[in-house]
Amino acid sequence: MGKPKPKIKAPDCVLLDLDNTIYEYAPCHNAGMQAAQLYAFDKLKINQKDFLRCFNQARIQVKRRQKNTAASHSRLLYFQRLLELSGLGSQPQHALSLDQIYWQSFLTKAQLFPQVSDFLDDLRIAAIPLVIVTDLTAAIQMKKFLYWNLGRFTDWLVTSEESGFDKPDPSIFELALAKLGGIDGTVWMIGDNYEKDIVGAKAALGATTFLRKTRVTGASLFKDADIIFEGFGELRQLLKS
Amino acid sequence: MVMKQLRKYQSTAFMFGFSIRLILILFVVPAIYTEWFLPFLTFDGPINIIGYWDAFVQSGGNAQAFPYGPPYLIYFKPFVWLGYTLGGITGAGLALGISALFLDFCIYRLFQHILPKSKKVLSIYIYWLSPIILYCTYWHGQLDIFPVLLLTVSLLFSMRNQFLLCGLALGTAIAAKFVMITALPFFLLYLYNDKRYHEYLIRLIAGVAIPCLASLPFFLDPSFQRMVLGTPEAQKVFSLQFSYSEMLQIYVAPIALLLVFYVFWRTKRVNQAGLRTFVGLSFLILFLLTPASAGWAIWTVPFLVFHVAESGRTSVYLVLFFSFLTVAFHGLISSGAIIFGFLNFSEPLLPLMASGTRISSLLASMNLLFGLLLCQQMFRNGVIDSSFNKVTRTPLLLSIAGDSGAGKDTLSDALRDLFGAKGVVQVSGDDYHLWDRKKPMWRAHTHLDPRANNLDKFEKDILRLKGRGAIRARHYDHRYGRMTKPKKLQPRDVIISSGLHGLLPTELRKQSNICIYLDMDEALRRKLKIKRDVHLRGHALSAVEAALKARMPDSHKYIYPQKSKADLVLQLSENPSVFEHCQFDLEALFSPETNTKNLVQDLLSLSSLDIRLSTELGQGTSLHMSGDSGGELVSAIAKRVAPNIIEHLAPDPKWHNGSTGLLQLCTLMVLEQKLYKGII
Repeated sequence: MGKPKPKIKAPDCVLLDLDNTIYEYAPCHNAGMQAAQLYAFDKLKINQKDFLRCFNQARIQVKRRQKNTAASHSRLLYFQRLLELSGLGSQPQHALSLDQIYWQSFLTKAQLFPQVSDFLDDLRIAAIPLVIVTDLTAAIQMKKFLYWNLGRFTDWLVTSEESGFDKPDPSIFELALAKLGGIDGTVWMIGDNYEKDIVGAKAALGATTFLRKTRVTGASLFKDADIIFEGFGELRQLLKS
Repeated sequence: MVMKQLRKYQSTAFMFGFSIRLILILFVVPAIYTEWFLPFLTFDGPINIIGYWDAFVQSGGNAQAFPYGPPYLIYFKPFVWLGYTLGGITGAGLALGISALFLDFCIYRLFQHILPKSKKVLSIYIYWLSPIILYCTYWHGQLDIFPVLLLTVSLLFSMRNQFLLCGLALGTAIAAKFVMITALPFFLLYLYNDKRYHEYLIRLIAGVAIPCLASLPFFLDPSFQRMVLGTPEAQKVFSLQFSYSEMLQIYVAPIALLLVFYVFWRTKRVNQAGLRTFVGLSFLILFLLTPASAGWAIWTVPFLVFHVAESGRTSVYLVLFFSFLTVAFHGLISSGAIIFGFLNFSEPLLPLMASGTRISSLLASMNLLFGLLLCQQMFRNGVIDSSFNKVTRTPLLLSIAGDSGAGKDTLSDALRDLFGAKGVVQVSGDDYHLWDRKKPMWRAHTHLDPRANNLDKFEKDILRLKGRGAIRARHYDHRYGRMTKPKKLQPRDVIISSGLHGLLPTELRKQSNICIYLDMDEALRRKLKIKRDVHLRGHALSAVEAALKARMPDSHKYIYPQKSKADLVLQLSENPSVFEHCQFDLEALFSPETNTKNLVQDLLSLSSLDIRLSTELGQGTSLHMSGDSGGELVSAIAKRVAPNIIEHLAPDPKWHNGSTGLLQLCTLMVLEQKLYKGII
């Protein structure tokens, strides 16, 4: 536990980020990129070096154009632009295939962290409402929701595509609470990104914030995070106590 | 709850185990290190190591000092030599301990890798804290950890179907310690008994042969022959005996070992867990039915870990009792160690105790009792109660029915591609038509009329194959319209029967593990049938069209009604698509007993297929799938929705793209649920 603060109130509602919070993002992204790159080489003769170069350029350009919206994370747009930068034009069929292959390999690799399911089940049993609050487009986040069968634990999902802007924009947090019909009381926000999840939820809702410790968040600079945790077992203990 | 507690303290437990090892290495010198191993390993022998044994004995060394094969010398000598150079005999002792610790840690890491996520914690509590490992390796000083690591590596490669590497690891283990050959017949028979794996036999044999052949030059060394091959340890297998007469003894351990091997042979087909169980049983029996050295107990430890991982709580208690009794017994009768260089516990404790014989005999008896209890539990859990064993006692029977041109052969071949051609026998209903094509009786009956087919023989033949009997069957040659001479069909682990009346015979349906009815959009069926019969089978277009028309009434009368008898109805329809391999949509109708929730969720999350789902009370679930799907997708979803069936597939199953892949997927999922519901 990073810096446990003594007075953590039991939650009346929990907001939970998905990516890199309940599973490790990097190996999944790598698996997705590897599969997409194989496809690009096999079908379009784009070599690995060009693929990575064009992908990085495409991502920067899409993000610059889309700013803080869900579409700025869209792999479909990245791949479309990648194909354009490779001199092949937009190639909708191949862009769709690359997007499909990327996410298929990504999800096949994805595994929930230990005790995530147990923690979410604890919330369900304690009748504490849970909302998944996450950036990115609705379609892929819904696929993740289904893949892990998160419907066992919650009925609610808010994406930045739905709210209009990525975190830390307050609209996404407000929409999450609005879906529950408004919450008077303690809100827990659990995420991995200090600026987006912690500062954002604090500013929008005054939430009690939980930052998952990663290599980036390992430092002790994150003063607004009420709890820095490593595993969901710690959150289960907190919930119990 | 217990597992949660265990997980909570796992890093503490690991550090505890590590600290004990470190303390023992630093402050304890086992007697056999100083008496046997260190003089041998620090000996300044020939650089090419062939002739090392002889040179050691010629220089006055103990002729029993190092009863191990060349791989031991190759691994330990550099470490010990380095330690000896840096710190004399103390340094050599430390180096030997540390090199054993490295092997020990490798086994621990291997278990972390092999065991399923939920059981990884056992690698700490059952392996890393094993009293047997701690006592035998760091107090008593045995080095059997080396071949045990190699044996565990061979099991890992076997799980991955990498049998050349498996053989190399096993062969090196045998070259290091000859008793490891006990495992070899089981590996060989495992591959021989399962036709899917026949091609791997050569790889395994080649792998084993390489290190064994490389060790042959050492056999020319007379001292190697005496020390390694002539070790008195080998005679222990004959120690437990009973007398028929003064001249005639019956040896118990060899009989028990051969019995285990016989049961393995007769079990016919086992999975990896079964293989591990039998190999583990043979090492346990060797340990229990001989006056074994303490080091022999180390051979059993990996199998105890596997056993606990696959069993319940009782297994933990049995393993604990067995381990502590082993240590207690050998602690009394085996040599010990010197602590801090002056506290001498190197002599066995037994002679110091007045009632030593009774106590040690009691401990040995209890050790034998708990060992035998473990054996029966391993056999029960790993073989008798194994779900794989239960579902493979008879061959799997997959029955397919459908109208002519509905795709029966396509599905049959796609399923063969999954289970592997060598493990599958395909029986086609066409081979049971009563007459050749030109015969006049076809004017009175269509092929769809059951009276025009020898359904009785069709059913009997398949049931005979199901009972693992061979059959003789004719084959209908579509090109010439004639039956061939009967040919022998051998039984296989999977029978795929397909035919116009595949689900009509009652007993056949009853014995089938899955009944599939293939349907097809009528316009598409006509188109494909004409394409197949005219282009592939050489029929005249007018004849095919006439046959289609003439057969329609019989189709409604005899073929369609089978739909209601199926566990799974698959219907293909046309979908002109940009993707070359997804020109067909598939509609799967699952029976009400089938749970389709996971399949639907996975299709929605992993694929870009257009999915339409409809469920009617009592009618089952209909799932319409349209769009692009690759073989990798089908494979990924199959591993999630049919995890147990994966073990039945070929080592390199061929997953099809497009609708054929989806046919494979739906079939496997229903088969999984039908086979394993109620077993697991």
